[in-house]
Amino acid sequence: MSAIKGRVGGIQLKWLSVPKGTSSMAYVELEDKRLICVRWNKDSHGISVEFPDAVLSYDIQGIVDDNEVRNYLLSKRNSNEFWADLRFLKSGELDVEKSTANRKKKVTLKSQMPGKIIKVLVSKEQSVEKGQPLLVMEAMKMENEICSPIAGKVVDIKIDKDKTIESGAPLLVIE
Amino acid sequence: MKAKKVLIANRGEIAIRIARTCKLLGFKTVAVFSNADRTSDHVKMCDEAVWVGDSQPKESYLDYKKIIEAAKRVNVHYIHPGYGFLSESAEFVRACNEAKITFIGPSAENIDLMGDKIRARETVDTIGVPRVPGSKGVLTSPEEVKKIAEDVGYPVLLKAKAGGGGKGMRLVESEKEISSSFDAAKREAEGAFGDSSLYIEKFIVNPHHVEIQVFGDGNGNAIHLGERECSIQRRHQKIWEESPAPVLRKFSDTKQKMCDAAVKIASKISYAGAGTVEFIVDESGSFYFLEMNTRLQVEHPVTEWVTGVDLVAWQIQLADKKFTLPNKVDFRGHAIEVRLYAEDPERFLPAAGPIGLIDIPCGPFIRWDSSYRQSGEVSVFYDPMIAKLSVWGQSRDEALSRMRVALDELRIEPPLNSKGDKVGGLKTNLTFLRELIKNNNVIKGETTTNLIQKNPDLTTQNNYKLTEKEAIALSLYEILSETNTEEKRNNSLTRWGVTGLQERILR
Repeated sequence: MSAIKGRVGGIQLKWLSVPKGTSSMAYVELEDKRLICVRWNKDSHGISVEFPDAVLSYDIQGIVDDNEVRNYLLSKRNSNEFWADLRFLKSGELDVEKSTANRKKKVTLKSQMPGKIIKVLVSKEQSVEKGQPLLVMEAMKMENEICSPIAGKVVDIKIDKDKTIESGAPLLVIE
Repeated sequence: MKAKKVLIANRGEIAIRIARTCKLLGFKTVAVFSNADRTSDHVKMCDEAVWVGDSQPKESYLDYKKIIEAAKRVNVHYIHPGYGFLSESAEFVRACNEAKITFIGPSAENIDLMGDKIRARETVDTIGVPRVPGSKGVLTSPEEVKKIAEDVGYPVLLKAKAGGGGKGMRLVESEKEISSSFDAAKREAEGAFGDSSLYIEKFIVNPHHVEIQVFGDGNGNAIHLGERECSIQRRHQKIWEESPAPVLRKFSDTKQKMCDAAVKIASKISYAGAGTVEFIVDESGSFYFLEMNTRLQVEHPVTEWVTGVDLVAWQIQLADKKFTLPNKVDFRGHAIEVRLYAEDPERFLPAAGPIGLIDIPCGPFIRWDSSYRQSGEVSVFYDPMIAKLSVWGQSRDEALSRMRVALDELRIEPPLNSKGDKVGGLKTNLTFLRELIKNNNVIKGETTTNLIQKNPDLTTQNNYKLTEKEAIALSLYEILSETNTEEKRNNSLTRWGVTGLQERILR
């Protein structure tokens, strides 16, 4: 089996053979030519890896954004450390970096909970800042301000004042 | 003799917590449940369970007629209301009395008096307990708000007469905010409590929230079980509670005065059972009466840790007429509780959804109050609290360290689909709580109710530096996930083929 090479957050890795199986081992070569043998056990929420000096476990969630790009949230178990918004730029190439630039052209804001729209604070074609309140929604007995996740322009408003909405219903589209 | 029955008119963690004590005292337990709670843990925990209605609280847990009907049908002797829902409804207590069922809690008169925050103020005024200046009665118009606000000075706080838990509460910092805040608070109060009456108070800058746990025998005797500081709040709701109160370390006679005042109030009204007198303490150690909660509080485990008293056991024994109030309780060490919510850790908006996995922290002096064990679903119909995690230590420092380790050990993950992607909308405030425990103000005990606004870094999610270990783990996970889906596809095809073939051979 041929080796695969890639970059994860600026760290270059070369797997000498393609890792396979939920519980197995493989060799990985680092940039400075150090060769590390790792064993692993993949479980329902992440992976445990045996390194030469420690066995570390991670919870890993894939979160697919509106542009069908998968962002990873990595949390180290038994620790407060976590790494959000990690993504592979090209599948197989393993080029991971924090995805801040060039992401999300169009975002559909969806309701996280069923509730009622109390107020719509923006209009179509209006430019909005990141964090700017867009609408007020009543849910779980509280009035909640829904704010813009990005800076952009409101291109579509899919709800009306006083309308009752279900969880997951589209609210606004921002470009 | 047949064991007596207690109906628990609540859901979630508190229903489970009450059921545990009922069982250890030898009582049979009856759960009530709504459509959304058919398979919830509190239902499975009790000896019997009665369906009481639709998922909306007002169709089930808030409908006292349905609860009484259920209680009569299964012949219960007692009803424990827990906190929230009907716990502070005098109407419900009267209905219990009429049905010859003992309500585990204070009398309807106690609830009427203290639940009506305006009459409560009049009562404490006669005892001479200081309180925050504000409106005398219910407000009828924004103009009235303006008049009083100018009298006591901005900022002022609009509050629901029937309120609690921050619902129907609005901070008004200047005149121009009055009308919109008045309307919003009214709507919230109407929606949450069915009563839109509002009142107003002067807002104390840099306040500490300290409350005294009291317990009365209903005959005019009462004692205190120390204080809890619940200053760390978000959206006017408590998120962290501890005892003893860090703020009172500097003001030891304030503490004594507050405990005395609380006991005086409870004695004066012949209070029965567990109650909490809430105060605001300002930077100079002055204290003001806020309100008395005539129920068991969410944060009661903190008091149970430092006193060794099972408050629910006391409540039940009092109702069962098998209780003698001690002269005082002894205090030991320091306890801290944090509330874990299904909400985003930056803006604290509710983010309910299914839970794929919970891994509960263990170890000495750690307590987990929750209705979730390994998995479940945070329902959109109810409060999005997932759990209360509390710890005890001989000192505050020890309790802090223990909480830090427990929070690091805790895992709450959403379910993942076959591609490893998150299913549902669950987010939790766990990363926020982990930041909170490392915050300097928190460590030093300088915890004012505006701590979160004053520390914006608490709500900014910073990534840690990615090391080669994480790089290896993630690349491994990604490669395995890709090959895994391929293999599964191939495997499942093969299996189908083989099974089909075998069947044909057997025929």
